Amino acid sequence: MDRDERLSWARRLVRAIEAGDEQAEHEAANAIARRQCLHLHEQLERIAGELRETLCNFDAVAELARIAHRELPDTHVRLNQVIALTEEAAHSTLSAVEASMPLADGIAEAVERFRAEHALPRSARGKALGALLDGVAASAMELRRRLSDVMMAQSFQDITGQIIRRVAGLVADLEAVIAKAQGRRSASGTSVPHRRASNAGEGPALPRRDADVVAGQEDVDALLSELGV
Amino acid sequence: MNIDKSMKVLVVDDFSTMRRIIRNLLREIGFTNTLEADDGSTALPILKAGGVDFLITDWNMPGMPGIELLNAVRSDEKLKHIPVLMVTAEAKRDQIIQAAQAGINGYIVKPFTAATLQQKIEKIFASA
Repeated sequence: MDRDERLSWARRLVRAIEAGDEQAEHEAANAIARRQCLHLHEQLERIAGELRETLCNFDAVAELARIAHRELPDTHVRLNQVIALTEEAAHSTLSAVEASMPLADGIAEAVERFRAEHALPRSARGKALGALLDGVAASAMELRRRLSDVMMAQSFQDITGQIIRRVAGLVADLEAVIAKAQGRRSASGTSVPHRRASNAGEGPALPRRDADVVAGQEDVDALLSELGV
Repeated sequence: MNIDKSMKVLVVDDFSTMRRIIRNLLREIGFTNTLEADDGSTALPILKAGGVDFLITDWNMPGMPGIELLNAVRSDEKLKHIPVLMVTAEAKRDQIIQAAQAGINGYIVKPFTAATLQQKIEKIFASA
């Protein structure tokens, strides 16, 4: 209802009262009241919407607080558990490798010793035995190389451990920030997010994500050689 | 390559698996006189006690990081001559430059191979 319309209804109301026309007065008064009602309705709808949104946020905040208090300290423990378990598994593998390497060496040495001490006859049997011994020695060497590969593969535990430790740090920080926002102490005892020293290192780089990262050892060697190392 | 294999080597890494792997690799190359520490602050007293001829260190360790250990070694009159090889997952060019400026003798990025370790050790002692 625009200004002219409102004025026209107001004038009709005044005229109706002056003329004592009760029906016209009632009609004009209702028209004006309806407009007020409409306005009030819009306002109520807006307030209801805001209330709904606030309640939702309230739920989200309560949920976040619950996760921070109950779940995050456990998550921190679980991540450290992963580090401990992989460490244990890697050590078991390394123990097996360390016990196996001398066996492989022993086989190769035994063959070598046998060949040095015993001249093989030129017969078919002698040739067959020679081929067998060569095969055993070659397999022992190959086994030795493979065991070395298994050992090097265990270095995954260091790389993944560093990544997991970084995520565990983030979880502890998150918990501390939420606890601080709520004005309580964090369940895992971290008071404020700890700041990492600038020299502490970053841990393993994210492939195709971290800028200014070397592609591999060749890159490192080239850079060091430029720097005169 | 004429390296004195009886030299004492200190291996510093916070992960016991990595210390064990490096010590195994060193043994394969012939270095049997090895010690270990889990970060810079536990490594320094061992270095200061004397007798360490070669230092292999990680960078990223809780407590004292490897780059600070390197700085400490280079600023100590009695230790500054010790060759230092960094074996680390830190792969930013800036960090390698920082390590070079701090006086590193070699830098290996993880994951690495047995051949790389041997090669870098030979290079360090060839130029020493």
